[in-house]
Amino acid sequence: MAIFKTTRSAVTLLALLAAAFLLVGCGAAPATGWSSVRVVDQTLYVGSTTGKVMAINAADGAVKWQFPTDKPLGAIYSTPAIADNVLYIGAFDYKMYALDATTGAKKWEFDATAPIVPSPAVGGGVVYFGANSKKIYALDAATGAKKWEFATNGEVWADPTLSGGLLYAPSLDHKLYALDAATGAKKWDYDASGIIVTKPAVGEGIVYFAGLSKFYALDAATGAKKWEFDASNWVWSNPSVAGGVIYFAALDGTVYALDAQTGKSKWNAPFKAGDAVRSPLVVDGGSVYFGSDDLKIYAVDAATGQSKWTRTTTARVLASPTVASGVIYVQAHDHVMYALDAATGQAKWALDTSGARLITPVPGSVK
Amino acid sequence: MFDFLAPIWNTFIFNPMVNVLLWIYAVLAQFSIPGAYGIAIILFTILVRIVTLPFYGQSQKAMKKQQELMQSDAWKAIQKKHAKDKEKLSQEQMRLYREAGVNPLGGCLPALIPWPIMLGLYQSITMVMGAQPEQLMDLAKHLYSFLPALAAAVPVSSEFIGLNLATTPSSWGYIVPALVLATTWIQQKMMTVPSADPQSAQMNQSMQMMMPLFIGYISLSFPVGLSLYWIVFNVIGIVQQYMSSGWGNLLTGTPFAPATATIGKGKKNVGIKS
Repeated sequence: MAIFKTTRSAVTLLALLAAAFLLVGCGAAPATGWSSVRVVDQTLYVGSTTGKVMAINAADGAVKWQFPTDKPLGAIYSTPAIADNVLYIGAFDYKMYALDATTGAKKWEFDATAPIVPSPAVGGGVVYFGANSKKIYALDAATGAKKWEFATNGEVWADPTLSGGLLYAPSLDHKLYALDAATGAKKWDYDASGIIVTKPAVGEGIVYFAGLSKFYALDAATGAKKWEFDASNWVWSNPSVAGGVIYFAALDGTVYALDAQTGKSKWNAPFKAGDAVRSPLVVDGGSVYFGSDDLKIYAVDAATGQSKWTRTTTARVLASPTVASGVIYVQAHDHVMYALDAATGQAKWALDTSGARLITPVPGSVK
Repeated sequence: MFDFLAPIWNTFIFNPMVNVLLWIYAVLAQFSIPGAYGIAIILFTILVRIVTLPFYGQSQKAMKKQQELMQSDAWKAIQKKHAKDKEKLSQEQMRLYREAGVNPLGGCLPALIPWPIMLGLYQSITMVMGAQPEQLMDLAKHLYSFLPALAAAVPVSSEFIGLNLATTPSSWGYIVPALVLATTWIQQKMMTVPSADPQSAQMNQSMQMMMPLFIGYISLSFPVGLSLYWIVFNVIGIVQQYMSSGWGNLLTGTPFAPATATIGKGKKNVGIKS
C-alpha cells in the first residue's frame, strides 16, 4: 500500500510538473526577431535570430565578427542601418547600439527603457527610432546623446521613414505621425483606426502605409487622404514602391500590386502564398521577393504577379529578403541564413547563425 | 508530428477563447474602464473555471471516496494481513475498490479533462496580450472576421493597478509571483490528504513545497498578466476546495495523520474476504 500511495503521489507530482512545463512551453515562445540583412561592400550585416549582430562575408558566408561575443542581446527585430562605417541597431534588451562596422566594437549605447522593435532611420547625423516606451527618439549619431523625443500613446513597432525633412513614424496607438526631423515637432497625424506596424513608403509626394487591413495613400505634406484600399487581412509587410506600383502583402498570404497614384490593382488577380506573408516585399530586376509562414521564399513577376520560382526552407520566413549583385540574402526563423541566386532560387550557401557554421547540403528545394 | 491536431484545437478551443477574451476586453475598454485587460483576464478565468466546474466536482467526489476507503478499518486489516506480499496487497486493493464501487481512475480522469481548456486559456491570454510582435502577428489568424471590432481593440492596454501585464515583474510587482507561490501552496495544502503512511506523507510534504516553489519561480520570468491568471485560477480552486471539503489539511499543519475514518457505515459491506 505504501508503494501504491507513494507511486500515486509521485505520479501526481510529475503530472503537475509536466502540466506546468507544458504551460510554460506552449504559452510563451521566446521572442526570436526578424532582422533583415544590410549589404555594404560585400559584407552582410544582420541581427541574427539568436540575438547577435553579425557581419558576414557575402561571397562565402564566413562570419567576420559578432556582437556581443558573450551572451546574446535578446530578440533583434531591427534591421541594421549603416552610415559612415557605423552600424546602428536596436534590440529587445531596450538598447540602441552603435557599432564600428569594420570590427563590431561598440561605440555607444542608448537605453530606451523598453524593448526596441523598429529599425532605425539615419540621416543628417541623427538616428531616429521608436520603442515600447511609446516614444520616438532622435539621437546624435556620433555620441548617442538624445536630441529630442516624441511621446505617442502606444508602443512603436514600425520602422520610421525619413523624407524631405519629415520623419514619418507610425505607432500602435493607430496613428501615423509626421514630425519635423530637426525638432520633433508634430506636423500632422493620421488616425488609421487600427495598429500600424508597416514602415511608411514615400514616393512622389505620397506616403503609403497600412493600418490593420486598410492600405492608405496620404499626401506626404499635409496628411490628406488620396485613396485607400481594403486588403483581405492585416497588413504587416512593409510596402515597396517601384515603377509607379506599390507592392505589399497581407497576413492571409495575399500579395497585392496597386497603381501608386490611384490604388487600382495592377495584376489580374493578387498572388496567393500558402500562408501569412509578414516579410516586407523587395522589388528588384522585375521580380518581387518575399518569404512566408508556409516555409517558402517566393519570386513573383512584378509585372504580372505570376510565380517565377518558389524555394522551400525549414522554417517560417518573417524577415525581408535583401537583394545585392543578383543574390538574395534572407534568414529563416530557425537561425538559418540563405544566400540564393535571385534568378533561379538555387542556393549558394546557407549559414547556421547559432553556431556560425555553413550548412551542407543546403536544406530545401526549388520549384 | 501532431500538426493534424492544430486545426481541431484552433477551431474548437483556442479561437473561441481568444475571441471571447478579446471581446470582454473590448467591451470594458469601450467604457474606458482602467485596467481593462487585467479585469478581462479575471472575468475570463472565472468563466472558464465555471464551465469546467462539473469535471472538478466529479473528480473531487471520486478522490474523497478513495481517501475514505484508504482510511477504512477494512483496508487497514488488509494491509496488516498482506504486509509482506505486495502483489496480493494490490489485488486486494483492487477488489476493495470494486466492491465499494470506486473507480481507481475516477479521481484522475475528470481532473484531466479541464487541462486542455486551461492550456487554451493560458495560450489565449498570452497571445491577446501580444507582448512580442510574433504573438500579435499570429493573433490575426485567430480572430473571427465577422467581429471587426475585435481587431480595432488591438493592442490591449497592459496597465493594471500600476502593473504592466505584458512585462516580467519588477519593483513592487514582485508581490505577484509571491501571491502565485502563496495561493499555489494553500491550494496544494488543502488538497493533500493526511496519510497514515510515513513514506507517502513525506512525498506529500515535498510535493507541497516543490510545486509552489516551482510555479512561483517560473512566474518570475512570466509576464505579470499570466501570473494574474495563475492567482485567479488558484483562488477559485481554493474556494471550490473549501466548499467541497472545508480547509482540509491547511489548518492541521501536517501531512501525516493516523487513519481514523471508516467506510461503509450503513452502506455496502467492504469487509475482508479471505
